[in-house]
Amino acid sequence: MRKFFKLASLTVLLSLVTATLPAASFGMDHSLRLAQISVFQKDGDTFSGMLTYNPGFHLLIPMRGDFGASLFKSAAGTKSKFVVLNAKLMADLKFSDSLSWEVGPGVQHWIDNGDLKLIVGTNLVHHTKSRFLGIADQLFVGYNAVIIKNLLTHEILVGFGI
Amino acid sequence: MKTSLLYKTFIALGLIAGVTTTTLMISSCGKGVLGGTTAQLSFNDATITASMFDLLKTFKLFPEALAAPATPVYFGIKFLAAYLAEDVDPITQNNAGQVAKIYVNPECPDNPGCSSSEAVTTFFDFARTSTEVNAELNGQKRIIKPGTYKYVRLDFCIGGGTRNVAFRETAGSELVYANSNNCGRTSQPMTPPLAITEGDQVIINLNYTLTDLVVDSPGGDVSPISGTRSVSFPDFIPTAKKL
Repeated sequence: MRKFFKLASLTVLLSLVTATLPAASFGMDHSLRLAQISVFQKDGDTFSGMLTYNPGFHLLIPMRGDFGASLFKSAAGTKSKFVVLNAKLMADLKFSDSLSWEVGPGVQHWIDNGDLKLIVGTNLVHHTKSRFLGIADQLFVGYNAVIIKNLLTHEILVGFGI
Repeated sequence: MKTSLLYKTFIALGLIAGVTTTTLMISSCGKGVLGGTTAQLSFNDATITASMFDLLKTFKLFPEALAAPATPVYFGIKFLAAYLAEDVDPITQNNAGQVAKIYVNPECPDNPGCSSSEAVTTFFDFARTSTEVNAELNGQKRIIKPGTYKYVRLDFCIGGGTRNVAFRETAGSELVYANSNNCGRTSQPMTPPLAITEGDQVIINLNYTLTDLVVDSPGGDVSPISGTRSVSFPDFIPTAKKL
């Protein structure tokens, strides 16, 4: 039941953010990002992919959401993989037309592997003038610190967005 | 123009799906990660093979009418699961308070575990060396909730068991199968109870000895299907180590 409420709270959070966007309606844009994610912690690591939906909007300052999912390998139990849901709200600071820096807090839900965790994440995004490989107009590198007591976890992402 | 846009969209979605699938398929890379507080079960087989009865037999001091207790060379149990219990009700023997699973037989679903004894087909041989026993546990760490735990409980069957215990008295003797309706074993209490806090990584070690556990039936804890010998379950004495 607790898992249900945690999933529900994530959904509500996502809905609230999305619901505020039309009201704000400050030049909203939408993007999808696909990244290779490398996860490192003491005595453990896993390498996977992460797909995220990243709406951009203006709420006092330029902001960008980061809602996605991934599949990590577990070092616990007999099950080898578990689903990770990711939700972040980041300030989107533009250095130039081609370079922006995103930073902000969020949560990750490691389903059946410790559940909800606070994260702090940052992305450095290069906006290409023409579509890379015909589809991508963003290339980015990112970092998330996942706050787990005694097991601070580092996530490094490299990917593209459309 | 519209066809071209649609075509490009399909190509893009196809690429995304392909890359995503491929990346997730190789996500088994790496050692794996842990999401928080964990506990890991281990055993310490402290069996002394030369018992007092062996000495008595050697010097012909043991009454011939009474078969001597013996130490099994094989002691297999259908080992379904192990968990930490905050407490045990002394009357009902039910768990009291928080419970945390620390081992699940790989033949069982990881969560919630086995729902019947028949799901486990292989015996877990406690008569092996500690190294061999722990190798079969395969270093299984499990995410648990922080709390205070007093007992370790082992599940051997659910709702009664048939042929859920097997033992061999000597290297050349017949393997005896037995039924045990005693579906679990509760360890000796941990004194003081084990307090696990957020982020702890704990190894729970269960010490046991199989010395002289094979006795004449109807003694022992199980009902042998054949033969005249039975076996008792060992006592498990827990210790814990935080990493």
